Amino acid sequence: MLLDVAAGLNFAIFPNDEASANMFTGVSIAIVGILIVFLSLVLLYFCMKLFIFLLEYSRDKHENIMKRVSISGRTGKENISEEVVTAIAMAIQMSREEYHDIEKTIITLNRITKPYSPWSSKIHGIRKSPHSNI
Amino acid sequence: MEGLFRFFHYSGFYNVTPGHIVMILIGLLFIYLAIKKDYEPLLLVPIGFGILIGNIPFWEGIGLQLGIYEQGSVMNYLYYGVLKGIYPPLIFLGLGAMTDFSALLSNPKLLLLGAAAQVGIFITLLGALALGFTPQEAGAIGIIGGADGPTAIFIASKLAPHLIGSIAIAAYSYMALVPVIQPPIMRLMTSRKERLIRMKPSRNVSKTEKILFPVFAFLITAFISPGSIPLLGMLFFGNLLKESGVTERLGNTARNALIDTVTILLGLTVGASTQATTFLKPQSILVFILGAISFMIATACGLLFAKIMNLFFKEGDKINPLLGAAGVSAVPDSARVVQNFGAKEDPSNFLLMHAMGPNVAGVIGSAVAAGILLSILMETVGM
Repeated sequence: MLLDVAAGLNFAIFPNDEASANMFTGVSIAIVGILIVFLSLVLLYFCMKLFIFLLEYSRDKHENIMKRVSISGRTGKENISEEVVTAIAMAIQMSREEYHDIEKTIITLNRITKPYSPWSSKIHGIRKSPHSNI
Repeated sequence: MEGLFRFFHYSGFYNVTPGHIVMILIGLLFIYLAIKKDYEPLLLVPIGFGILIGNIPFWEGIGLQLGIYEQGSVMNYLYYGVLKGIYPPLIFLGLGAMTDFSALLSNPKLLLLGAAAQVGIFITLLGALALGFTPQEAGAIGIIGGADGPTAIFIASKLAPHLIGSIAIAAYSYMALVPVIQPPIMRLMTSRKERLIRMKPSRNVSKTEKILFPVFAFLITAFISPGSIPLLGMLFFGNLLKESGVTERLGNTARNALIDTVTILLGLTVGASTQATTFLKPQSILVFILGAISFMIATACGLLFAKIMNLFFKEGDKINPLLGAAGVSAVPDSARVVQNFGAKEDPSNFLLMHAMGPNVAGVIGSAVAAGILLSILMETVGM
């Protein structure tokens, strides 16, 4: 419909055939071009909105879960003293059987004998002092 | 004595024409504007000096291989990157690696302002057709309204290579003259009350959004307008290098060394392509006039669309219509002009970050428009 209107106007203004044809092409390009530019950026806009919505939805969901945990456990940050936190941390550590002050008391020192090899020989590794011929 | 006379024949003094003098003066003016007035010095210094290089007169008929249009000359080889549209995508790569899309991501509706400003391209296309240019030439001239030098050169190299010099010079000149061209239109089209509108503070944008945006934006825009793949592909690839966080070295090279090298080559060769014998034609003057009109229409359309958008927003959500002027893709100059213009009315109103949204949207919009023109008009050429 828009193109028909453009064609009518075009022939009224440009009686010359070639100029008229060019102008008609131009009007069609302009209409199609503007529509496509808007379409692509509007589509991009909706995709961005959708993505932002999904991102915020997942963030809200995560925050709600955290809030619920916080309420049910009644673990308000301001109520816990540093000593209690340290004690809990230590208890967790100990429960994982990582005792730092209890040793196994088993001696594990073994004598290691190395077989002789000229590659690891100490005498071949040191610099020999030059001998005087006098 | 005859040798001396022959040497004089080779010299510039013997071969000079009034056209050469005019072009040399234009080159000097560009250098002056860049250094003294600080108008886009990174572009105007190479272009200005390129104009000087391209307009030193010499005896063309004896095959010295000096001129930019002479096969085998050094300048001709460098000009190949312009003619074949190699430099513009590389500029876009660097541009992508520099661009922060956060402003756009935090307020996606600003994308529409970038689309509105592209209307100038298509209106100018009609104006050029009415003045007797072919559809391909008209398309190449219209893209000046996108205010994007690399895009204008890219399209001109494909659709109207004989106009590339005048289109490039017009595009870059108007980009440099953004602070002069836009403010009167902004003043004319907005009321003081509108100019004082304060924008809502920007939303924080997560890293995930920043990484996903270039990928999805490229897929969407390239599927709609495949003609824009060389430009948008490079733009979004450059941006992914920046935002991914794992290709810092590549991003750094793209936004520093690479873009600087290409800008030097592009500016110099575009300047040198304005050889008086090929450049000074009535057609070039028409290109300049249409380019200016295109740029003004683009600015006006952006402003108008922002005002129309405001009709649908409730108080508090309204956008400052000055942001519409930033929809032309002269990054970051038009955003800076918006900031300065807004600050004149209210120094505590900071519009710069908000204006960067439509500004980068304008880059995307003009590349999409270029892709559309390329697909339709190249097809017409093929027919």
